[in-house]
Amino acid sequence: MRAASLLPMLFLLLSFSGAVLANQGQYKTRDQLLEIAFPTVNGVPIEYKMETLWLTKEIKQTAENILGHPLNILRVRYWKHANRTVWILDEIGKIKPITTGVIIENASILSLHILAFRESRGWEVKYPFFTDQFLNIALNKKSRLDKNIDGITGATLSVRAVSNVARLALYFHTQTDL
Amino acid sequence: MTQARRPKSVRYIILNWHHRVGAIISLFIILIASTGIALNHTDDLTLDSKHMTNPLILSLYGITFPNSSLHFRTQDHWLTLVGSRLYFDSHPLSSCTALIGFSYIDSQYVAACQNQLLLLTESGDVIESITETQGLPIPLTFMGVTSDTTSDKTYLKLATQEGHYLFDPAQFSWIPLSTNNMSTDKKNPDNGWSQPTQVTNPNLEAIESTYIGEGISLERFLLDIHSGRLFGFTGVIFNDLLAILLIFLALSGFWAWNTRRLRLKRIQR
Repeated sequence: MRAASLLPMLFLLLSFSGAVLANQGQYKTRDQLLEIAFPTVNGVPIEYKMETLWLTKEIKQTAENILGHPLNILRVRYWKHANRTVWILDEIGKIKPITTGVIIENASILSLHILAFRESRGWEVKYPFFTDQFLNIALNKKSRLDKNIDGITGATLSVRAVSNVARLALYFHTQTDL
Repeated sequence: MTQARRPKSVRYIILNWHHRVGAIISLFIILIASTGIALNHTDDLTLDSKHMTNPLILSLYGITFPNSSLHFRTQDHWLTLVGSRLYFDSHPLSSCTALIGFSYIDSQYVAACQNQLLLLTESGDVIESITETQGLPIPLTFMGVTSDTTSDKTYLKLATQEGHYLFDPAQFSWIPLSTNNMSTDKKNPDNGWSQPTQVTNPNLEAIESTYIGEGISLERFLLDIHSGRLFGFTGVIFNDLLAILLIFLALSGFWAWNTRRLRLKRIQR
């Protein structure tokens, strides 16, 4: 095979690896998420404050049931104003953590955003066609999402991780003093 | 007088080999099928979170304990980086790309990696992990503790290539500082910057046992048995050969069944 005939294959390979790398990384920062959650109204910024949720034994047990593995931290930070809370949580898809931001108001999800994705596969979960499925979703009595989330072929673990984070954020919201 | 031996029929030869091949590869097929069943239920069986500890198996993967490790000591506790894994005394914490420092502030320990701060209890439990997403300036190059003489308050001081920051874990706030306000000689421990110690963590033996135990997941091990990669290229070729023999078994079995069926039909006519 002539070397020249390998060039298109090499180009395709490089383009593909470039596309994979381009889809990894940070899509939104914490400040950008907080601007979405607490927008400026009539030129006046909404004043929000950061709170801490300490994870009691019961909360950790429920979190473990939701995630399917122990949660090895003792507290979680969140931001709140009135009945609205913002949660930034990490959950591993296959090997590396996916950072998800969840904005919740009155026990249902206002919006969900993928802030950072670090794995080589499953990054499709960042697109609105997937994240918009979580709008207005709440927890049912069994601590499950009250609507079905459609999966993405080839991104099963990422879909599962993001869905579990949505459940966890909704559960944490119920444990705040709102 | 010797009796001329009747030539063996093709059917006899094929069936004879069908039996021999079946007997030879049966054990391997059981092994491959059972690992395949287990791998089909990886999530249910949590194969990826179980680890192999057998030294013989680990030696097949060439897993050895790294020669070099980095140690920090604060109060009576040690923080050690082995490979890319972090240990509080001998207790495993998380992965860490580059260990920057280890400090004690407000009754909690802080482990600083290049892209992450870990706040720890006095027994080494992770209180929380702070990353870039939570606003942490990265990549961190140094960490230390400093006191504000006017308010008598203690802060973490963080250095990045872009600048210096004061971090108050209680308020969760970063205050950018000009380098004029900060002692820049970070190698001098008197300036409050955390520095590694040349003394080795006395828990290194326990760390080694944990480190090696985390090396290979049961899922990886079963996958490598299933594909033959456990024994390198030879194992893969061996498994290819098994697959070819399995195809031979299927074809010869079908052929034997079909020829017998046709022969019976012929006799019945």
